[in-house]
Amino acid sequence: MNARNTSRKTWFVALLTVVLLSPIAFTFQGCTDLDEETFGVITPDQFFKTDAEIVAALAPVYAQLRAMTWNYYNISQHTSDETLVPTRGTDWDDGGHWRQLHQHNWDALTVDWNGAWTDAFTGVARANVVLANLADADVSNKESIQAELRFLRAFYYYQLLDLFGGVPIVETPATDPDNPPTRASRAETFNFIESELNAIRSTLPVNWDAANVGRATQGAADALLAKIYLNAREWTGTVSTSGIQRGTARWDDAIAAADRVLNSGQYSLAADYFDNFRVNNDQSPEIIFAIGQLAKGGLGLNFIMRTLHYNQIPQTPWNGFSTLAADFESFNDADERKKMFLVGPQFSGPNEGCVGQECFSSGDPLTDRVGNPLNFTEGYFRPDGTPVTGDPINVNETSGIRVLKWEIDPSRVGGDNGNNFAFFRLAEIYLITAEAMIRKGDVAGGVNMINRVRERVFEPDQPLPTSMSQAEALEAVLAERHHELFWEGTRRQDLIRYDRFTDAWEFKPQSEPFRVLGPIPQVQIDANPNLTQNPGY
Amino acid sequence: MLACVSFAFAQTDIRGTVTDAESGFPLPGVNIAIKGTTTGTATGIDGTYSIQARRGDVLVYSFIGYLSQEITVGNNPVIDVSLKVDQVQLDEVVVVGYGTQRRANVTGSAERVNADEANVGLVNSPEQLIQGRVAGVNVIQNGGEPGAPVTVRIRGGTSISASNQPLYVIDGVPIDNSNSSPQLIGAGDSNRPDSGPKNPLVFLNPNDIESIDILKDASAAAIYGSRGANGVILITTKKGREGQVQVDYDGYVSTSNFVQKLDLLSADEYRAFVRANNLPENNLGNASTDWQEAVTRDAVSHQHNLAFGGGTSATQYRASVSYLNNEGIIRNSGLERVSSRINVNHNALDDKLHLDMRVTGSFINDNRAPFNQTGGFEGGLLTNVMKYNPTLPVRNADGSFFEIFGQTSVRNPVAMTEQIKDITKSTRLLGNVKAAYDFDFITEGLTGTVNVGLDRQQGSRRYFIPAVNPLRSSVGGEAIQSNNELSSELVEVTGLYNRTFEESHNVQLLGGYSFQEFTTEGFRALAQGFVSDVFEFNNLAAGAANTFQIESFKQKSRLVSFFGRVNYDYKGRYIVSASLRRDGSSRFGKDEKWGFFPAFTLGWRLSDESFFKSEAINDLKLRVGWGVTGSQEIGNLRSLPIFGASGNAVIGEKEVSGVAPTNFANPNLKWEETTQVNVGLDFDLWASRVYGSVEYYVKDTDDLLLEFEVPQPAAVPTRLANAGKMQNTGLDVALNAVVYDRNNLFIEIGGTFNTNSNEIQNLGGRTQIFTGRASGAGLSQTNTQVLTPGEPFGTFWGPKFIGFDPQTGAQMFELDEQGNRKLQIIGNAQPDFTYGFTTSVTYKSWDFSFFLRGEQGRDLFNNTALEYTSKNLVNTNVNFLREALEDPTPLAEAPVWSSRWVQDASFLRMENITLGYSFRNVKSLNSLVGTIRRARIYVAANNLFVITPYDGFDPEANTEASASVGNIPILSLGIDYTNYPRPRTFTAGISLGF
Repeated sequence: MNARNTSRKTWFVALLTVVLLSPIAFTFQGCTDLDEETFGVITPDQFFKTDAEIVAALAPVYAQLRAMTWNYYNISQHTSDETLVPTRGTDWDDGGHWRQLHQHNWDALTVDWNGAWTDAFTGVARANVVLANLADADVSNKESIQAELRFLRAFYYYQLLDLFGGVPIVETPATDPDNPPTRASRAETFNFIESELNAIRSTLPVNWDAANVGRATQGAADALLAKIYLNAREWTGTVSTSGIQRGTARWDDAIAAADRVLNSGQYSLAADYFDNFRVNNDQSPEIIFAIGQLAKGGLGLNFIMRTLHYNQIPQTPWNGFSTLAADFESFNDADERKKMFLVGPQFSGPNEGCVGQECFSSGDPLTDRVGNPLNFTEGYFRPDGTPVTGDPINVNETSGIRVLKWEIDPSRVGGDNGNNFAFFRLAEIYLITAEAMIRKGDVAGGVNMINRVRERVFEPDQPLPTSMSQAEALEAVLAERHHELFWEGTRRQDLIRYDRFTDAWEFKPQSEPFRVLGPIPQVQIDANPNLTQNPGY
Repeated sequence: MLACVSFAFAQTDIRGTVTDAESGFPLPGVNIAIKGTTTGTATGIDGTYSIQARRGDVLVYSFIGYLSQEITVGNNPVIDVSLKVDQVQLDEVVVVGYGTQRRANVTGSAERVNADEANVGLVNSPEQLIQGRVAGVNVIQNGGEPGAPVTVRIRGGTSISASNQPLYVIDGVPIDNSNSSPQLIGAGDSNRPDSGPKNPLVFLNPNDIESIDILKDASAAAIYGSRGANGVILITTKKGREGQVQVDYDGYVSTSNFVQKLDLLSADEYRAFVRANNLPENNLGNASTDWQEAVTRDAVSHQHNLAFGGGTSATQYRASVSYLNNEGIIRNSGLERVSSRINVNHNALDDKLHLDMRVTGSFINDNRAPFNQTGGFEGGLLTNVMKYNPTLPVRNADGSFFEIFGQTSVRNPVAMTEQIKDITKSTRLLGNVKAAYDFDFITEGLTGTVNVGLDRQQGSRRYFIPAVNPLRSSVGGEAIQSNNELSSELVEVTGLYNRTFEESHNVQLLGGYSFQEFTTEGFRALAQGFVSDVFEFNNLAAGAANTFQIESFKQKSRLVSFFGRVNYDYKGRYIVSASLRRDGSSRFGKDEKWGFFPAFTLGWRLSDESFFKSEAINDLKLRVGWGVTGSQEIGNLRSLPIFGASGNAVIGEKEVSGVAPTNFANPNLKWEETTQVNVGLDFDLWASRVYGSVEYYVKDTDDLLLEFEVPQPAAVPTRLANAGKMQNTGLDVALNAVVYDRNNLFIEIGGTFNTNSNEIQNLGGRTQIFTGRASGAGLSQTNTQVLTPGEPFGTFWGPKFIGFDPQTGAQMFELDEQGNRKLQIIGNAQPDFTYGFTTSVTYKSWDFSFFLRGEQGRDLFNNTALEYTSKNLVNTNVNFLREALEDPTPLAEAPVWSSRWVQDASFLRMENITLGYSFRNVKSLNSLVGTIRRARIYVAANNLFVITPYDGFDPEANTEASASVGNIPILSLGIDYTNYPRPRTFTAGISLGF
């Protein structure tokens, strides 16, 4: 009796176990289904259906522009005579890559080149992905969005053309891994950009409402055309170990493209030069195309961080980029633009609502990390005060004049400031016209254009004489670009156009002629064996 | 008729006591059976028993872990028996994947550690139990923080980018052992000190562990298929035993202190240096602060374990609860753990149904120190300990913390320990139920088992830097809440057929199906800009709205497997085993969803051959194994084309959310595959006085995961693909010997030895991949290690330091033809060999043991010394190491990465040393505290000393310094940067059994 009870009880336990366990087993039905479930991310088949989704897909193509304020910008600045980041004490050696850029002895492994290559091509690829998906999508403004995407793709190709010469031209979202793309010639790359811009310029809007400021316009396309025409001789030519063999000049096209901008009625010079660099520079009537920035983590401009000393603002700037003595000296003292330089003793304030030298000009003296007065010097010195010779290493932390051209954003978040980075502004269009006119022989016409830019920054006016020779005028337009566009990332192009890029300057010996083009990054050649290296590397 | 026979020989009442032969303690729960019958009994709590037996009956006394004894009943009705511990335990059952096997028949490479033996002193995680005790298993404590992660490498690493940690299986449930501690938003922000990752296994109380079995080679681990490449660690928890209730208490108190201080300048030396060099004295203070002393303390920890268990022949149970308070030697750091466990076994249906339920719950309260810092120069806690000017005081006259006015890049480290709050509370629940049924009615020896397991962990992290600290003074403080949940469910069905034919053919067949799903999800939020520090992390909404950041995520992966194994042996002399697993993982690409993982082994017990009879040799077994295993730790969502929230643009002065491709599809993505050959010899000589094993292995890993740049243009610049090849070859030796066993004195020694040579053979066409990112000012983007075919993983790469310039004192380096510093191989982080040595001595009631462990011929990059051996630091108001004072380098010289900082980090460590006393005559204590079954007191020291030429905090430090290629890290090895120092610990403990 007892035994039977036990048995019944245990059978019950057994049954209960099976009943309890089996549903758990059954919940895992489809027991060999191995499709990966996704959460919080999107697979392509779920997307590109609505207008909002298209805008969301367009955003990353614009967002990628911000990347150029690092690698593309740094290469453009540090390989030129405008910017230096010495090894300050224990800081900023960073494997020597800054020095390599400055002294023109980089190679295909130097990180900056791969960064710039990847940044630009990521933009190209993002544009291609959206263009491909847009083809079948049923959304409004489709043509205009396509034109925008093609403009952005051309803009990314422009960066590549500038730094690397001819590159693979790809208009599809994916490439064949077994037969990766080969490099087009520099002229073909130029022609692609030109034909794309000409094809879409009239489809782009003339302007955007306030909610869409920053998106591509006809003016942006024309400005970019003007820019590539200005450099057409270099960018349609070839480069060998002995330097550039130039192609055909396109001065008339440059003037025509620039004229379309000047005559569009959309733009005028800002009253104050520094309005283009203030936090609210989205209000400046001069800006044709800007890279939008916001005082928010990862979305802002960090130019002030790169140059200010650690102790100047609470966010602990990086005490890095400074300028060469020759740059500072080349500015006329009466030039309003010279205000951008921070030189000499620095004080506690103000640091907001001011530009350049207006800042850090009153209050308590600031000190460096040892407690010495914070005094930015024109020359470069060792910690013991002796001048630096040879490589710019073992430099003290206060050497070098700093450039505070972009206003410090009072509502910055960390190092992220809300000043947009103006890529094309009207002043440069004047100077493009000026240079093209002078190169064509119209010296007086060109000088007048230069003077339109100078009017704003000299009080009283200091117009250049229209009577100068063509050679003098060419010098004048280069100097004007130097001063007007200082630290805006155009100096490398300008020096190459003037055959001065490989000259010697402070902490830099004369460099090899092939340096006018960067190396194809070694990792890219490893990834795509069809890529050929540029001469000299 | 039978009744008549039974009357023919009268039964007598046989009684006696069973004791432990060594200690003389009574042994409760010993089974006593009359041979050839089902009659039996067990000893009671005091070791006594009584049984009805006839003269001539043979009584079999058996007890787990002891050698069985047979005694024929004679005239004396009192039979006292003392059982000897089974030293070699040839008949011991070891845990292998999905079942157990007689140790004698194991032909793969599997080792067992008895947890109680290894659990001495302050031990808070299971990995510490196997440290140095198993040849070829290299266990490194990454730092000295309580609960710091432990690097376990079984026979060298197999991956350069994915996990090299073994698979952990607890009571048959493979667990997710990824770092589960919730991350901060924007982890890696170099301006915010973080704490390091934590060891997820800390949840498991070492006192609940019965044994740990380690499957080292592929032939043993292949049954775990795509997760077996780095070996498998099987943890078995203690279960109840039949008998009366037994209660055990184990407790200890320990004190830990900071041992190895770095040789920084004292305040007086710093002052003297500044004055001697005519440097500005603006920053010299009047205080003398030893910042290393100021942030550290003598930490007191204690643990209490209470367990009780018992049961009937049908149901046994064991339950335990434990409390650990483990203080860290850095102020305000430490962890508290409360854990409990219930294991119940029940046999039903005429002993045909076996139910086994095991549940553990654990709660950890973790108070972290913000010590972790790689890259950048703002600095975590320990960088500031190095840096902070020793002439400055800890506090101002008004009691507030001193900070250098106007300076934000160096912070008072004591203030950091007091002001930064970083608390993680985590809960983990792990349980499984196994139901096994003996299908004898189909055929004898057939068992079917269903195993259902659930693992769930939840962590909440709260982080706060007040505005009063310069770190966040400019943003009005910062608070973060971060939560995550990890869970996994397992369903497993196995069938086992186990039978012996004709008393000589032993056959075991196993077949099974397993399904396991892993889910990770979480939520994080950040706020800055608090009006008052009082809000802390308890009111994020009180922060400024434009600073808010939120994140959430969820991922799921699934593993489906079919597996089978055949074991056959002929009289234990010839042993054959083969296994096959088919694993399908949701992580793999659609063209490579399923992988096959076969294994095959042969064993030959030479000592059983008639031609091989020797008095000296008890057992000699030769075994050969081959197997294929995989590593599926490739992360989720790596094979699919994925668009994520990425690339937010700024248009119209507003943020516009973007959706962009975030992963490059690879439909061929699959596991890393390791093929291993193992040859081993097990021996047992002179009646188990000497026993051990020698094994040789070759381990080839193919299809290493690497991120490759894809031909541009590509929306995602890199793609994860299988390419690359690495090899480990090596020798494991384990040897144990009883060197003395007379006159109450028993001395046993044991040793393990491993030498492993690692070689990267292929990197998918690449010739060099750089990693090992150096940290410190001016050192960003400096890579210190290279992966290159023909060289081992962990190879240091850089200029070779050749001395100081006799004129200028500057550091000089070997130059190439162009006069540039010649970059070359300058060391390797892999040891030539590793070893462990244990000795245990028992004399009467005393026991004494120590455990030495070492590694020879390994290099460590002392990143801390690189950064802080520079006089130049004084120019930035920062302290430096005395070595810089003594070397001739000029004041202006900045740190340069070179072979000077790759130091020999060979070491010999006294891991622990224990002296114990067991009360033999426990009855005398009984009058005081009741019924005591056993009592032991002990004192122990952990990490008593380390002999090493290395002069950093600890030669075993391992700071994560991966360089990324695309989205995956390329691992580094052997880099030491401002790690949490490892303490020396003294413990006094007591064990009581009631």
